[in-house]
Amino acid sequence: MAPVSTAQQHESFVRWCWVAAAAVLALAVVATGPFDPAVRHQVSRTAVLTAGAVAAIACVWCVGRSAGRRRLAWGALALGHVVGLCGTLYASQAGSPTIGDMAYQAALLLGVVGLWLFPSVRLHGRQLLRLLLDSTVVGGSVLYIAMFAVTLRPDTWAQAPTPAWYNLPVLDVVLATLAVFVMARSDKAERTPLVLLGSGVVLYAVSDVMAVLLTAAEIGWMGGFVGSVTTALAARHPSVSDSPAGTRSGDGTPVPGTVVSFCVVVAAALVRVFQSARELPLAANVLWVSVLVAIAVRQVLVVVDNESLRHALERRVAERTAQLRALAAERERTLESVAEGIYGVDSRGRVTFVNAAAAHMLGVAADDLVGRPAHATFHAPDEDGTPDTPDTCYVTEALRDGVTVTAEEDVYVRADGTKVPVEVTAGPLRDETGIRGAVVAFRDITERREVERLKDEFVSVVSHELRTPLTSIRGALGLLDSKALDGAPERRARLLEIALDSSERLARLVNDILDTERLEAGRARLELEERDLDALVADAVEQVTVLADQAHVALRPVPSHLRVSADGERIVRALTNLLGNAVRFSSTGDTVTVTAAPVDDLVEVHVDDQGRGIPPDKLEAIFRRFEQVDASDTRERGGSGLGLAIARTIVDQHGGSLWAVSGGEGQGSSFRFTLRRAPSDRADVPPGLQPVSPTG
Amino acid sequence: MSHRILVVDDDESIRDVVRIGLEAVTTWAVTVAPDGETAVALCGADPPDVVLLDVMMPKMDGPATYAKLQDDPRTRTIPVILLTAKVQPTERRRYDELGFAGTIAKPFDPLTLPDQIADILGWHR
Repeated sequence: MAPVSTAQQHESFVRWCWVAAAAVLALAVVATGPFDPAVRHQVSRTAVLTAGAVAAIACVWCVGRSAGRRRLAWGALALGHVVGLCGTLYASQAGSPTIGDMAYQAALLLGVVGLWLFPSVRLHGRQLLRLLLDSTVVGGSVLYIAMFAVTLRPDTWAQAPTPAWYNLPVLDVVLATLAVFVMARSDKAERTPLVLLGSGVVLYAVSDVMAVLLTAAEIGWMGGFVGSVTTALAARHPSVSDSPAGTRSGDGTPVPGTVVSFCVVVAAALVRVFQSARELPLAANVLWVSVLVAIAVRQVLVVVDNESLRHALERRVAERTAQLRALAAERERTLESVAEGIYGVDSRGRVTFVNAAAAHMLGVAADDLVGRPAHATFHAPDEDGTPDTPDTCYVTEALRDGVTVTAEEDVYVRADGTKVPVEVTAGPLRDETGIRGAVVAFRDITERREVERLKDEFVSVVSHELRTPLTSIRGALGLLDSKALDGAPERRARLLEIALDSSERLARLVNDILDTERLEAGRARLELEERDLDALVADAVEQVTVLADQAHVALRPVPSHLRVSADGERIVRALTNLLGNAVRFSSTGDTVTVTAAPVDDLVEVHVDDQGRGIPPDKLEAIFRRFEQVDASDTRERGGSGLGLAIARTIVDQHGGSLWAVSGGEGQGSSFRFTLRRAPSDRADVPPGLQPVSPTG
Repeated sequence: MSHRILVVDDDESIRDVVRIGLEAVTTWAVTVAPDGETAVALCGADPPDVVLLDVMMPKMDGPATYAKLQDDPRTRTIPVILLTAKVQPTERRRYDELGFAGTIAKPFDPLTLPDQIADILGWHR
């Protein structure tokens, strides 16, 4: 069989509702119409029997469609209807109302069991206790109303009612009470069928009480008929076959239950007011007091619950507040510990927070920035003073379009008006309502810009220094290769000389550049040994002898008889550069002197010349790469522009210092550097102490 | 047509290469100067048709020399072409802004150097 859809089930249920309404209306017409009482009695009985049979069949159908406690519940309800039917039939055929009443009582007990078996929201502790109190209040109130109905009977004015009078009403009341609380504790998904069941049961209970106590049989038939009809409808509800088998935990629905409870209590109280002039049975008074006690206990319980809930809520609020404070403090510590400047803005672009790094970079107190418009506060105007356009600002884009920008360069302005180049990352701050602000992180890139500028400058200088000899080589060889100078041997010879000199200069330059890079990168490891300083100086002097002879400059090394801890090859290179530099800047007939003397545990070496000297403002600059006293020195003096830089790097790696001393232009120069004395050369230094190699 | 050209460079090798090259392939009269001060003096005394000017020179560099020439009404109209090894894009832009007639990068081919000069100045060779 093809499965039936939920929509089809609902349509079927609605059709059943219309049929039930029509049947109830028809029976109401018959029961209240101008018919013979015997006819009305017969029609009512037939209707009750038919409705009971239909309800029993519907409940059996539900037994096949459900499982677990629901299956048992529907089974008990089905059995209750069957027992009730049998009792009605037996009573009508055998004419024994006692047997019929016993059957009704059995049927009602089965109904109680059936309703109790329906799965409901599971309750514990005080919730369960409160439900029981509510049951007591409602049940007691309904019973009190029923007792009032008993007292309306004429014969009760003369005699006190016996407990037997209350059998069926009490069962009806218990059943109605249980129905109400099954409704109250029902799961939302199957509330409709349970409300139908409960409503039917309540109607039946009320009508039954009235029928028994007021001897109005048609009312009882009517109630029985409606109860069976609603049971049948409940069994046809779509949720019956969809409901899960188990029970669920939860709070149930306390509000409807409370409303019903108090409505019933108010009704009972009204009865009490109207009956205050009459002498009521002791049982009624005991019952009324019990209801009042249950109400009082329930209210105390509610107050205790509320107080407990309030304390629990206050405790949770305190805990959450402490957690939020801890989180805020943690966030603040994080923000304050990062080196990058960070600030936030609200949806209007106004500053909401600024961390310490940002405040420090901008030279202003963080609190002074909060609340100010971020764009106008941070952005520096253009060179011509034009303010930066807000429309294209990354903060505007983050707030307006939710755009995140990374590594965007900008210029901020400090409190003193100076500008600071920054690299910015900005993005929107979102929550469930959308973009509520933006956060901006920035870092000062002044140093990076300076490094880039120096790098560009160095590349430019190196390019220039390489291109200059290359230009001579390229030009000279190009002309020699052509036939343009075939008849000019002197010019050809000059061009050959230019090509050779420039090639040597280029080779020297390339070697020095490579050495500089290798030394500064720390890839050339030092091999420190005890070396005879006089031997090192002699090696260096030998390497510049040719150059000195060409320049007619005398070299005069003065023996020191000192030993140093040094990488011999490197120190010879440094000395060669210093001697070559001194020779190039000396005049014909000058003398370059090398001397050394101990200073504590160091040796100070001097390379002195009688050359043109160094202006005071150039004493330090000449150690920078390609830096000369005069821009043309490289070409005129034949150096690469790197010799002094290389020498200083070598001495630095030995842990020493290299510096220049000069009285100014025309006063000669003295280049001085220190090295560690060899341990064996020192009486006051332990022999095991060795100089530290910077390259490890 | 014979032109008079002044080559200004502190590097003697380059001065000689340019001079020998121009004299070998053109009929131009070539004069050389080792620095800016000499160049300004030569231009003031006998203005050439064009000045080939190095950028990096001692005491007075190329732009400073050009400024001096611009200050003197006698030398203001002499076209000046930079002959330089500093050819980074930013440097080129700076030269253009200063108003030089053109820039020739080192290293260059001395055989085609006259054509480059003629192209810059609109000369017919």
